[in-house]
Amino acid sequence: MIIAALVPGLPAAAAILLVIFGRRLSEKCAWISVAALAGSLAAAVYMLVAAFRGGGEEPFVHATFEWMRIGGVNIDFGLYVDGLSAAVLVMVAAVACMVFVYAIGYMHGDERFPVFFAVFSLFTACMFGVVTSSNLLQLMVFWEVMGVCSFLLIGYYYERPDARKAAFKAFITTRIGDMGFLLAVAAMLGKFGTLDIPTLMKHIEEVAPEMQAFLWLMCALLFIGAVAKSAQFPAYIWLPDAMAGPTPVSGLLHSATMVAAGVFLVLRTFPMFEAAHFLPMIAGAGIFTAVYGASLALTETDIKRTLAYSTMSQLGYMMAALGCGGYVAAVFHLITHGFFKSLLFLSAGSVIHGAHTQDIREMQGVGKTMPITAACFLVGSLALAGIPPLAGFFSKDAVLASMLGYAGKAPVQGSIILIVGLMTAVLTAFYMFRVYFGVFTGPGKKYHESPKMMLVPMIVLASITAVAGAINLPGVTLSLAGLLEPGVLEQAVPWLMALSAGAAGAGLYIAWESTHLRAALHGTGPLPRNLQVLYGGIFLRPVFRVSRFLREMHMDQIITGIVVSPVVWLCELAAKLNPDVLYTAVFVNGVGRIAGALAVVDVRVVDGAVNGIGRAGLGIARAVGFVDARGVDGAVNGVADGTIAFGGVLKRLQTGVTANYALFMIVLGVAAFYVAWWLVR
Amino acid sequence: MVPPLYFIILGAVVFLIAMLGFLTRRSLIQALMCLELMTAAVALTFLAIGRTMPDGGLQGMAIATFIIVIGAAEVGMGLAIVMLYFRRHGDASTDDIDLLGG
Amino acid sequence: MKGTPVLTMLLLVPLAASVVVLLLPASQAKIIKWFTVAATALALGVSVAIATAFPVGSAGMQLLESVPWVPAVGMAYKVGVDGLSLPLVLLTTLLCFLSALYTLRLEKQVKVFCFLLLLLQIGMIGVFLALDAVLFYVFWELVLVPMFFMIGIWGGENRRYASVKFFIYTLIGSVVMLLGLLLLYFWGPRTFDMQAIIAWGQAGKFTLEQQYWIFGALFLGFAVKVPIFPFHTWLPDAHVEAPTVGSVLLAGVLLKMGGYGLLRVSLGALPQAFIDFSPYLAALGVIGIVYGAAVALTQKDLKKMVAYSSVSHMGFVVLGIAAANAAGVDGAAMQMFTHGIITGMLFFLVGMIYERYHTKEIAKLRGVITAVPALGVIFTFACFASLGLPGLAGFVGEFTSLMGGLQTFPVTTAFAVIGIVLTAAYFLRTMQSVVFAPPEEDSARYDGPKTMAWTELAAVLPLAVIALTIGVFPAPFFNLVDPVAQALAKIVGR
Repeated sequence: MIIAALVPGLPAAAAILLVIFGRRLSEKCAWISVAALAGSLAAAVYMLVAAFRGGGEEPFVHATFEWMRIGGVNIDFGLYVDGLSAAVLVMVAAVACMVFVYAIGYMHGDERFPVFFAVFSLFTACMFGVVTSSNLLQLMVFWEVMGVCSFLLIGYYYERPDARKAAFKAFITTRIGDMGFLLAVAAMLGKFGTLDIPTLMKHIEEVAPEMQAFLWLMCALLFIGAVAKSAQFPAYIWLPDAMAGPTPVSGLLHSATMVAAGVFLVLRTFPMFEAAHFLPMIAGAGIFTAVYGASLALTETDIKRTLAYSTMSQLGYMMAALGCGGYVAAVFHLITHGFFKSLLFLSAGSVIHGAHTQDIREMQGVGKTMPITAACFLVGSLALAGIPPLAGFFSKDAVLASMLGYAGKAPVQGSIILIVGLMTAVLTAFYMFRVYFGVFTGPGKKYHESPKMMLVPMIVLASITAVAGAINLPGVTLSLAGLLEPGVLEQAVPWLMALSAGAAGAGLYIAWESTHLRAALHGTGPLPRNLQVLYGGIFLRPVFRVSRFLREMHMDQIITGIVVSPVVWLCELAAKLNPDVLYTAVFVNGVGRIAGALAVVDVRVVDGAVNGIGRAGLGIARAVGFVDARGVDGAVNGVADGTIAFGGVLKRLQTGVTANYALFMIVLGVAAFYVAWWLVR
Repeated sequence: MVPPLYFIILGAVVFLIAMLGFLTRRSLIQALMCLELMTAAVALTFLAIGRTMPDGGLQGMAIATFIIVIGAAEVGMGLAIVMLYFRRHGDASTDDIDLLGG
Repeated sequence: MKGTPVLTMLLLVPLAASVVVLLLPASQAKIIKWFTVAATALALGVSVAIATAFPVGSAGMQLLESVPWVPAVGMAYKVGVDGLSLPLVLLTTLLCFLSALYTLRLEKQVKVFCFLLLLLQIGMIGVFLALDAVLFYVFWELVLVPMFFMIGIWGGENRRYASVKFFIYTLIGSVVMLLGLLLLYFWGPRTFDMQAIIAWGQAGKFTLEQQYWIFGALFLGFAVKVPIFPFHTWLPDAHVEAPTVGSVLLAGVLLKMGGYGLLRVSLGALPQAFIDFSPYLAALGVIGIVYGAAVALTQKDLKKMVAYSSVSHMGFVVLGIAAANAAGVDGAAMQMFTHGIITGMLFFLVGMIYERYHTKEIAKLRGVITAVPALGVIFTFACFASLGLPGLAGFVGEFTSLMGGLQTFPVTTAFAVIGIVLTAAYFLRTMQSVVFAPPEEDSARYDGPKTMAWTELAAVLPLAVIALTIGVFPAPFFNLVDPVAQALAKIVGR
C-alpha cells in the first residue's frame, strides 16, 4: 500500500520541492525529479514482481478511503494495482526516468529550467495517478490535471504564438472529450452508486443484460473521452500541433504516457465495453485511425509531426486490437510502443538539437557525424516497422493475431480489419524508413553529436526496445499474458508472423527504392535499374498521391471548422440576445400603454367628477406623453432610456401638491384594504 | 342603548365627508381641519368597535385617548407650520404649495 | 458554548463596529481601516468557533435563539444555523475579512466605505441566520443599500447607471418577494416563524393554487438575486462598475442569497409547486450555464467576462437545486461556496491587474507573468479553479450538481457540458493572452515593482488554499451539508 502510494507520491513531492527550492538549486534541481522517478521505478518493479507472484488473480493493492459521501453514496478514493497497472507503471516509470535525464541535457541553459521540471514531475505523478486509481472519478481527477500539465508543457515556449495556439487546441479538444467522460462518470455514479473500478465492473457484468442501452451509451461517452486523449480520428487534430512543445515533452507526453491514457482507460473498463457489446465500434474507429494516421505520416516533412502521426496510428492499432478482443495484445503493444516511440522522439530531438531544423528535406547524411543517434533511431524504426526480433514485431504480431481471431468470429469485418492492419504495417515501415534513409544516410554536412546526457538515455531505451519483445513470448515465466487477469493469449500463428514480417520488409524495401529514386532525381545517387524505376512509379505514385490528397484536404481544419464555427455563431448570437433590449421594448412600451389607458380613464371619469384633482390628471397625462415618446425610442435605444422613462413616470407622480398625495394615499389604502380582505377571506 | 353599528356608520360618514373636504378645499387651514375631522372619525370608530369587545371597550378607549393626545400635538405642529408658511408667502392655498414636486 | 447567544454575537460584532466607525473621526483613516480589519477578524473568529462546535451530521437547526418582537402578528427575532447556512456564514465572514484587508489599500472616503462594509456584513450574515420571515426580509433589504452606495460612490465611469439599475432590479425583485412572504403569512399559519411556515407547507396545508402564487412571487425575488437567466442583466453592469471589494462581495455572497432562499423557503415550504416547476428551473439553469459561458466568450472586458462566468456558474446552483435530490442540493451548496471562493479570488485579481495597468480590456493586457510573476501564477490558478479543473474546488460543485441533475433530468442536464467546454475556452483564451502572451505595441504598460503587496497576497492566498483544499478533500464540507440535503430531498420525494 505504501509502496503503491510512493509511485505517484514521489514525483508529486519532487514537484513541490522544485517549486520551493528550484530557483536556489538552478539546474541541479532536476536531479530531485530523476531521483524521485528512480524511486517510483523501483517501487513499480517491486509491485510488478509481486503481481507476477500473485499470478494476476488478485490485485496487489486495493486500499481506499472515503473521499466524500453524498446522499448515502460513497465515493472512495484509493489505490488499485493489479497486473495491468503494474506493467504499465514499470513502462511509464522507465521511460519517464530516461526522458528526464535526457531533458537535463536538452533543456540546458533554459531560463525557466526549474519550472519546466516542476510541471514535468507533476505531469508524471498524474500519469502514475491515472494508472493506480481505484476510482473512476479519481482517475478523472488525475487525467484532467495531467491535461493541464500538458497544456503548460506544450505552451512552454509561450512567447511563440504557435505554441500558445497548440496548447489551447490540445486542452480544448481533450476537454470536449472529457465531457463525455464526465457525463458517463456522473451518470454511472447516480445509477450504480459506486465508482470503485473493480466493484463497478463486477456490478456491470451482473446487470448488463437488463440495461444494454444505458451501458452502450455510457461506453460511448467514455470512449469519446478516450478518443480525445488518445488522439483518435476525428479528435487527433491536436496531436501534430502539440509538437510545438519541447522535444522531451513530446517524447514523454505524446508517445508513451498521456496519449496512452486513453487506451488505458478502455483497458481499465474493458469488462464494461465487453458487456455492452461496444467492442466493434472501437475496432472500427481504431483501425481507421491507424491507416489514416499512417497515410498522413507518409508525406509529412516535419520529423516530429511524422512521429506524431505515427503515434496516432499506433494508438489506433491498440484500439483496434482492443476492439477485436485482444486485451493482452493491446497491453503488449502499449508497452513496447511506449519504449520505442519515446526512443524515436528522443533521437529525433537529438537530430533537431544537432541540425537546428525539424524539416526532413533539410537534413541529409546525419548518420555520418551523429552515429549513436542514427543507431538509436534505426533501432526505434526497426521496432516500429515490426522487423524481427525487435519488440515491435512481437507486439504487432499479437495485435494482428487478435484481428485474425476476430475474423474467426465475424468474417467480413474481421477480414477487413486484418487486411487494413497489414496494409498499415506496410505503410508504417515505409514512412519510418523514408525518414531514416532520407535523414541519416548518404552524404551530408557536418553535425555535432549530442551531449552524453542525451545519448545515454537513448542507448538505454534502445537496449530495452531490442529485448522487450521477450516479455510475452509463450513459455516465458514472466509472461505478460500470465499477468493480466483476463489472460486470453492469442495463439501465435506462424503464417501470420511471416506475413507481418514480410509486410514490414516490403515497406522497408519500398522506402529504400523511393529514397533512391529521389536521390537519383536530385542527381545525388546512382540511377536504379529501369525495372525498379518502373516499379516505383507504378506502386509509389498512387500511394503518395493518396497521402498528399489526405494532407491537402486539411481534415484537421475542416474538423476544427465544423466544431468551432457553430460555437462562434452561438456565442455571438447569445451576446446579441441581451434580454435588456427585450425588457426595454416590453417594459417601456407596456408602461406607455397602461399609462395611456389610465389617461383615458383619467380624463373621462376622474377629471370630470372631481375638479380638485385635475392637476394630477394633467401630471399623469404629461407623464404618458413623456413615456410614449421615450417608449418608441426606448425599444431601440436600450435600457438607459428605460430607466429614465421609468424614473420619469415616478417623477411626474411627485407633483408636490398635497391633494394629489392624499388621493394616492386613499386609492392605495382602499386597494390595500381590498387585498387584505381578499387574503383574510 | 344605541347599538355600536350606528356609531360606526356615523364614523364612516364623518370620515368620508372629511376626506372629500380634504381633497377639495384649497385653504391650508381648512385642509387641516378636515384632517382633524378624519382622525376624530377614526377615534369614534375605535370607541364603537371597542364596545363590542369582551373587555367592555377598554382597548378602544385607550386608542381613542392616544389619538386625542397625538391629535393635539399634531394640530399644534400643523398650525405652527401653516402660520409660518402664511407669514412667508402671504397665502396658504394648497394648489400653490408644490415645492416637493419633481 | 451552550446557552451563549453566539449567533446574536455574530450579528452584534459588525453592528457595534459600524457604530464605532461612525463615531471615529474621518481623518483617522488608518485607525478606521485597521479597526474594520479587527472587527471582521473577530466576526470570522466567532463564525469559525461556531463551525468547530457544530454537531456535524445533524440536519436540524442549531443554536436557536428566539425573542418575541411583535407577538401580536407572530413576528420574532429568531435566528439559527444548520448545515446549509453555516458554510455561507463562514463564506461571508471570510470574504468580509479579506475585503477589509484589501480595503487597507483604499484612499477615498475610507470612513464611509468601512461603515458600509460592516453594514453589508450584518445584512449578509442576517439573511443566512434569520428564521423569521420579516427578519429575513429586513436583512435582505439591508444588503441592498450599502451595495448601492458602494457602486454609486466608488464605482467606475458609468457607476450611476449601474447602481440605479442594480437598485431598481433588486428592489422590484424583493418587493415581489415581500408579497410572497406576506402570502406565506396570510395563507399559512399566521406567524412569520419560518420553521412553522415550512412545517405548514410540508404538511401540505397550502393548496396547490396558493403554492403557485407564492412560489411565483418568491421566485422572482430569488431569481433576480441568483441571477437566473433571463433576470441576470443587472449583474454584468453592476460588476463592471463596482469597486473591487464590491464585486467580491456581490459575486461572493450576494448571489448566494438567492440560491439559499430557493432552497430554504421555496423548496422547504412549497414542495408541490417546486416539483411542478423544477423542470423549467432546471432548463433555466442549463440555459444560464451555456448562455453565460457563450456570452463570456465574446467579452472584451476582463471584469465583464468574470461577471458572465458568474452567471454560468450560478447556473449549476440552479440546476442542482432543481434536481432537488441529495446530490443536487449538495452540489448546489458546494457550488455556492466554491463559487464564492473562486470568483471572489478572480475579482480581487482583476482589481489588482486594473490597479497596475489601468485598463480592463483583454486586448490590451499582456504578459502579466513577466511583469508580476506571482500575480500571473495566482491568476492562472484561479482561472483553472474556475473552469472546473478536477482537483480544485470548482469541479466538486459542478460534478455533484451535474450528477444530481442527471438523475432527475438527464436530457436537460447533458446540455450543460457545452457550457463547461465554453468555460474552458474563454478562461484559457483570456489566461493565455493576459498572462502569457508577450506585450505588443499597443498593450498597456506597467513598469512598477515585480512583487505583490502583502495586502494583496493576504487577500487572495487564503482563497487559493481553500480552493485547493476543498478540491482535494471535500468530505468535511459534504458531511456538514449532506444531512440537510437529504432532508430537503425527502421533502420532494427525490
